[in-house]
Amino acid sequence: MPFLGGVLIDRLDRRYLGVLLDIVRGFFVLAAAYIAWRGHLQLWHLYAMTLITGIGSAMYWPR
Amino acid sequence: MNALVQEVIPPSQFTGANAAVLVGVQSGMLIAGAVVGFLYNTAGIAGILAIDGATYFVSAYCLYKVRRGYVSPRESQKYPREYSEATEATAEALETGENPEVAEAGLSLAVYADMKEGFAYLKRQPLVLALGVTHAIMMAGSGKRKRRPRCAGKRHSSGGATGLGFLEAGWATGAIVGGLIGQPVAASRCALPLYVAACAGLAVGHMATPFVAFLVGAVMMQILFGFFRALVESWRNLVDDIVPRHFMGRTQSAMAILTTVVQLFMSFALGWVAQGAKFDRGVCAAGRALHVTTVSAIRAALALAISCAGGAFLSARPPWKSREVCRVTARCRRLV
Repeated sequence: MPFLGGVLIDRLDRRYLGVLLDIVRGFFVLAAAYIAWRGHLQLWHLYAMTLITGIGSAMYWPR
Repeated sequence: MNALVQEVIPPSQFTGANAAVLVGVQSGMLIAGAVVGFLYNTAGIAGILAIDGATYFVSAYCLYKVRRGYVSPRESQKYPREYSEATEATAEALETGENPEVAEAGLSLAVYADMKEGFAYLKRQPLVLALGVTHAIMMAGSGKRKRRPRCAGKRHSSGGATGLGFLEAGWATGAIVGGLIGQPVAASRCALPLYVAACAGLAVGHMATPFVAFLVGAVMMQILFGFFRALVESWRNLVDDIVPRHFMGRTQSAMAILTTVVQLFMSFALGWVAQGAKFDRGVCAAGRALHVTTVSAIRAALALAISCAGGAFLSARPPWKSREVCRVTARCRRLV
């Protein structure tokens, strides 16, 4: 994802891209929190959440 | 995020801004690491995730409130694109909607063309390439820092979980101190020598790690690693100064590809050495990789120093901001 992230930040508004990435990641983490609060959290939920937040982080902080 | 810093902060404040970002991130990790255990006991995994999720929204709000940059990203469209044919054809197909195949293929081509532009730019800028290669090897050698304290924590098993906490806290403390003290020093004219010294410090430290068999010593080593790692981050100031704002994303993409390839190779190699032989040998191997980093950093510094032998390197102005930088590219290309 950092490959595409670098290309995207030259094409899009960097500030709004950051806001969008934060909102998407925050939504999925809160969804996982809600599932955990209801007591239905399974391992694959955490895998999916980590995958999505990982993709977002790779674009947010490209190495 | 790094590109956004470059966009909204004046060049004279790059160092302070990068240091503030580094200190902010490390302070947050230090505080969170200290309280996460207590929070987990009281709020459980749901509470931890809820706090984590809320921080993203706080971050989004702060970003939304960030002032507008000096150069709007949309102005990047004013700059001529080296491989503009695919981009123009795609834009036309997207606007008319008549040729969806062309639009779809063109988008892929445009992304590929952007990546190609990034590599073409790196080829034309040997100093940036040298810094990128140095960063790639350094990240591969020391980037797996979370794994290393855990291994070290197992090694210093007498410390248990508390010992691991001390190791993590030591790294974060060193990074914060490095960000607060080291970065302003890096802002002066000795940025590149300091960068080389930090790489050398990391390399020597990694080689010495296997011989440190007590917890206090290991924590001290982690403090030093964090400190040097923060100093190494000063490379961003150099890159921010050299790379034009509208080209930063593509340059980062090219560097990301470079870093990922080196990291993959190093991860497998170090994992194989650490698993098959001993953790100590794995750390030593990382130290050797960091020696390569030091050599690469020295190469970058020498390239700049030789090019600026006319005196700019010793002048009050940072050398990468001087007019000599124009000649650096031409001379370094032949040199490197």
